[in-house]
Amino acid sequence: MRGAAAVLRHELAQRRLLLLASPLLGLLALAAPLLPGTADAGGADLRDTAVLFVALALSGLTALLLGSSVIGADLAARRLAFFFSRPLSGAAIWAGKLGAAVICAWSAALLALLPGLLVDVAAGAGGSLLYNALVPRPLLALWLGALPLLVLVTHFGGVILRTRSKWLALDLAGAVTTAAVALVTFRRLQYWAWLDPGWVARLAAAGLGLASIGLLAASAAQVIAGRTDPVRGHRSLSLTFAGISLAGVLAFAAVAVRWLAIGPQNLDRWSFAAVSPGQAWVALSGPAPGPPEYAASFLLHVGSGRSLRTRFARGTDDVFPVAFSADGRRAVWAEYDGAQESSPVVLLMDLDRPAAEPVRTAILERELPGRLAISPHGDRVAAVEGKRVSVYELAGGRLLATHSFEDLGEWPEPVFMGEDRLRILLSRWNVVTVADLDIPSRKLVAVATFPDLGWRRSLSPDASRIAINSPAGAVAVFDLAGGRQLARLSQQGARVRANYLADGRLARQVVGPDGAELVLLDGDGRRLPDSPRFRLPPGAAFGWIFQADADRLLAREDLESREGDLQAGWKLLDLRRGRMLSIGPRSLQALMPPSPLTPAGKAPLFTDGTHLLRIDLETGKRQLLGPARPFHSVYRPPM
Amino acid sequence: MSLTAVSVSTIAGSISPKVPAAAFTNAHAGAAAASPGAAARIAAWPLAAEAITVRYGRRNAVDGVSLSLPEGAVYALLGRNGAGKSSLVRCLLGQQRATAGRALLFGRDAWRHRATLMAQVGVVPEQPDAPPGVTARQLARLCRPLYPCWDGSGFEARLRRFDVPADRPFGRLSKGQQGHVALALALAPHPRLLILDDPTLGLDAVARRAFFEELIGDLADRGTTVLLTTHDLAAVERIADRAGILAGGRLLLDEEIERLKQRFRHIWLPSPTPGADAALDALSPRGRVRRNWRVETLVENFDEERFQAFQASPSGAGAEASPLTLEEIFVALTGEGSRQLAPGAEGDPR
Repeated sequence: MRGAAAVLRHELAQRRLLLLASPLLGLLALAAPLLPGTADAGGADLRDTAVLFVALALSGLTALLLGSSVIGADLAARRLAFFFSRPLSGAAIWAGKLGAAVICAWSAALLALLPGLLVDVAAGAGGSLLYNALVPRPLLALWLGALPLLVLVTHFGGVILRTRSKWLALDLAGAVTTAAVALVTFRRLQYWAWLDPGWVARLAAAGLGLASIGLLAASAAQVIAGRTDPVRGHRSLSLTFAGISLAGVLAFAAVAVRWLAIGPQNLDRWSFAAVSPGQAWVALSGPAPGPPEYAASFLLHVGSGRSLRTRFARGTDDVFPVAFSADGRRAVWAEYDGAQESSPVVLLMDLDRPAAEPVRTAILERELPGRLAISPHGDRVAAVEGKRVSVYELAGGRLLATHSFEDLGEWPEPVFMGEDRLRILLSRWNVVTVADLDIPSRKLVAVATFPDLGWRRSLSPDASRIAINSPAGAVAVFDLAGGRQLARLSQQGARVRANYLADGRLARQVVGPDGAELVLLDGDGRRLPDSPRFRLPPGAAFGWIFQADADRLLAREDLESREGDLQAGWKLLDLRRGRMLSIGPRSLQALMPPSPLTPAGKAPLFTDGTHLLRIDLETGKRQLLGPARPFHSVYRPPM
Repeated sequence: MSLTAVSVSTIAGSISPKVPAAAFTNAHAGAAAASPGAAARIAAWPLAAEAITVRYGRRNAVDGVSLSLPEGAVYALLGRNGAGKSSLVRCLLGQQRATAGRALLFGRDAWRHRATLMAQVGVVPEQPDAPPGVTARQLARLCRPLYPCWDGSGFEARLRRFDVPADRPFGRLSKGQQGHVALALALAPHPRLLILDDPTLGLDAVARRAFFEELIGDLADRGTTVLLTTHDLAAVERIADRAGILAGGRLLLDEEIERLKQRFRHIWLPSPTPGADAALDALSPRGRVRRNWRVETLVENFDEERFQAFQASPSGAGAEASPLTLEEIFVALTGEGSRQLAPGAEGDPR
């Protein structure tokens, strides 16, 4: 410490002229308003800007010159031996010399600012530019923090350029390797993990910190281990810096690899999970261990356990990011082509092969489609981008038809009615308009308009009817062909909810003080005489309801509590016998198709939080299929 | 502590075969190496080099050099430019790490304990290395707190004796004055060991004389151990009691100067007879050269009795033996001209 202090004092004494010149230059800058042609500019602002400029420039120049010469020049001129011939440790020489360079740079900035500050204080500093730059904003603090880094960088450069030994090759190789590894890792992370700007800033700060530590250690090693030997010093500098930066970057790469090399079983939980209509694949995504907001998505082949990492773009909570064809043979989804916010690409995958790989379609969309709908045979796709609906041929990416809509409150909701017609639901100011886009003629035909009651809508499988659930607890059923209201389902003192099933019937639920009751109606909202009633006790209600087959429904029982809906378990509703069976414990969670209009099948998929399993609804037998995670759906149940 | 093999150059016009290294054993070390206790004692001497090798790329600048200096010794390390003196000195000062071997100062590894050891060592470098913008007084201000003992008045007195302005920046002093400041800085902390790396290089005769006068005075006062590398062989003869000669990075010779001078002789044979060569061979000459009718022979291990016997023989009639100066011995061992002749060959360098 005594040695470092002695060297520091000695170095500062050598630079006393600089310390004297700084306030003088600051004084000179005060005269900026007197320059010709500056009469129109605000005098105080111009003065302060000049002072600030002089302070920053002077300190930067000081850091640059001293950093590059305070040790490098002595080493090159063999004057460093003077210090090493004294009872001074290498650390003391390093700390004293570089510390003096940093102090000189700081002092140059502060001393150059001093006259301006004094003038500002005398003039009542409140609104002055200089005061603002110093006090509420971190400009000066950032600059003062950057000066030591500038000293270290220029010291590094000064040493390697003066020495020009063969270790320069290591410097270049190390720099290229480090930058390449960092860049590749960062781009992979950005590609797969969708780093938000805050995380990018944190990574940049970590990189800067690592570089600073590397430079600090390397400069110390250069002096301490290299002593008066320039080549050995260069070697120590290069090895230390390359070692630290490469180690840091490799650690970053290793962490990134760990984050990225994950499967469905590594997710914290499954948030989106849906089974393809053929029950062969599960599309899923969920938060994963890694940076904040990191989520990963997969297509999991149920039979083989093979998972395919995808980048389903995040839709809203209501929109599942993957569209399956009704026959379950095809899936389409949209991804960003590169990092987030890059141009989108629509991917297509044939699901009838376990070894299938996604294929990029030639579909060109300017923005990421918010909704996708695939035609029944999987040959066409409708993409909703903002207020525009476009229909493409999947095979060649050809645009078949497109239409833009104005004054929409929500995204258009497209539903294929066969291969050549697209029915589009448009929400406008509490009014729902239904229009059909005739794909071959590209003509849009208005079909119906009816009031939007403001809550969830449920389309019938043939898109000819719609049930609109209102927040008040009533349901209105409309005929989409003409907009006629077919039924109004409500009950005094109770909430009524309804949604269409895969066979076109309506499942209506009445939730009242006595509990919940579920009955089946026909597609027009009329009571079916032979429909059994299924009841749940007070505090419970049916959540999502799926049709397993013609005689069975699969329903989620939700418990209403103060904390919100809690899933109680899945029930099997036997329509023929009017019985309700519990399929499994509360921890069992079902993976259903993305649309309630797709039958869940006779052996639907479930997860118990650790395993993916299939339950045969006939026999109740369970078949373990592979590892899984707890599934907490982000969808709100339509019921 | 003995050398295993040494390549030897000879006087101009003469050449000799390689001489066994045992002939140049460091006497201090040789005496002490007899027992483990003595070896430990040597290691604790002010300076000891143990088989130091310094390699730059594929070239050995210093090649397995061992030497040691007891307390109070004044050792002159001689060698031509590029012989490896400065590299060796840097290793001894702990400024440069030897490729192999180690340097000990006061029994401690010079590389590992440099900072501590430098408190007992004064250094005068080959090239003045103090910061050019700093005055001698400011340099003293820097150094004073670093040493346990700092003779400030002695420092000032030396500057006055050398007529060096204490407040003039070091870079504006003459080369001689810079050397004097360096010596004053080296002597001020009363070092136990003084290492002078060609300190009078580039100094004029007056400055050189003043430098050595000051040094001799200090040696007389305090008995400091000194390692001196220099090309000023006349000065070495005045102050050093022992010398080593480096050539091609190897220590050719390490011996007391008086003994060295006794060992080397020129033998002049004015009119050689046909059997003179064979008779001269009996004196173990390092090499010989024929100048007109006269034969000039350098004998390395001169034996007075054998020489008298040679003189008394018919072949040695009129032969004379004369001593060599240190410079002549140095030239004989490291001179360039001798290398042009094949070992054992005779020649006429006229």
